[in-house]
Amino acid sequence: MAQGIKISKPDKNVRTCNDKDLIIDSTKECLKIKYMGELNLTLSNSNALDTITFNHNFGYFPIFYVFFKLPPGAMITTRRICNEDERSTYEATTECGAYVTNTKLVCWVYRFDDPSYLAGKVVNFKYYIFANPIEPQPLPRISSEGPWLDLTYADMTLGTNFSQLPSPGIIIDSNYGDLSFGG
Amino acid sequence: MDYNIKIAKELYDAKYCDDKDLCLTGGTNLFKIKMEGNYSITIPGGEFTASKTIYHNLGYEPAVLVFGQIDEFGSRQRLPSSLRLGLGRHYCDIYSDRIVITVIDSCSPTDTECLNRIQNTRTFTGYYYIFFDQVSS
Repeated sequence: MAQGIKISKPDKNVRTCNDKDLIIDSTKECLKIKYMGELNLTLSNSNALDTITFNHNFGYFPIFYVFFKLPPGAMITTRRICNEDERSTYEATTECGAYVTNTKLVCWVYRFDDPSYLAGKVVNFKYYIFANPIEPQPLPRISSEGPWLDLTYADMTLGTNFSQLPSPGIIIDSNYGDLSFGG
Repeated sequence: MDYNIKIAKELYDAKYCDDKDLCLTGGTNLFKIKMEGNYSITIPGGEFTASKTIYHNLGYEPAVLVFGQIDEFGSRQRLPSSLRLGLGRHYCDIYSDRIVITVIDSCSPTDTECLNRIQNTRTFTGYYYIFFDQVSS
């Protein structure tokens, strides 16, 4: 029997409501904020493109979400979502964005026409980096304990490590138990 | 001693797995929804832009997530978006008491090639989430 935590929205029955009416459902993966913070990028006087980096060092590409705010003196100074450019309706001047690699988040500002525009001023970025990857992940491997994993590796070593019996064992017995004992 | 709730994905051990392999953890923040809803923005005939204001009254700039219509066929994309057929821009400004979602047609009123479309009203729809989580300093 699957176990977990479910909390429904008001006036919804947690046992019978649709998934969309649950506030928490531990059987579904949440977006988990791993890092959140601010980066302040001082714009140079000579480069069209300026960057600032945060090292997350996950080893994989994570989901991220970044907001920016241009400094006083810019045409647009409200808080906005990356990637977007400052504009006068159709003409873009300064664009702010962000991207990730498997080790870092890079926030950038690109000034189309004149690098001296806003030079020396600070662009604020607020970032959220989630633990959730945006690339396929390998299947689970080794852990030191837990009934499911004990049984798996005990099977692979001819059953010498049955210190813990599997519980509840529904998936375990049918999949991994059969791998070693079924023949 | 710190207390926490951790629930792992199926086949993972919550005690030892990476955060990415958890379904739920109390050890990291989660976005908490303050309000959400549909919106609709109509650009009047002869105009090229219109906005919709939604008040949250949080007193600070919150994180928001907006999915807006990006073309005349009803497709939606997380904002901001730009340079799609029939739509110049669709973006969101965040203030301490409200958000303002704006659409700008891809053709200005003086563009003769687009004049037929510009003369008619154009309605763009979308869906927004405003979170309790603060993005302002």
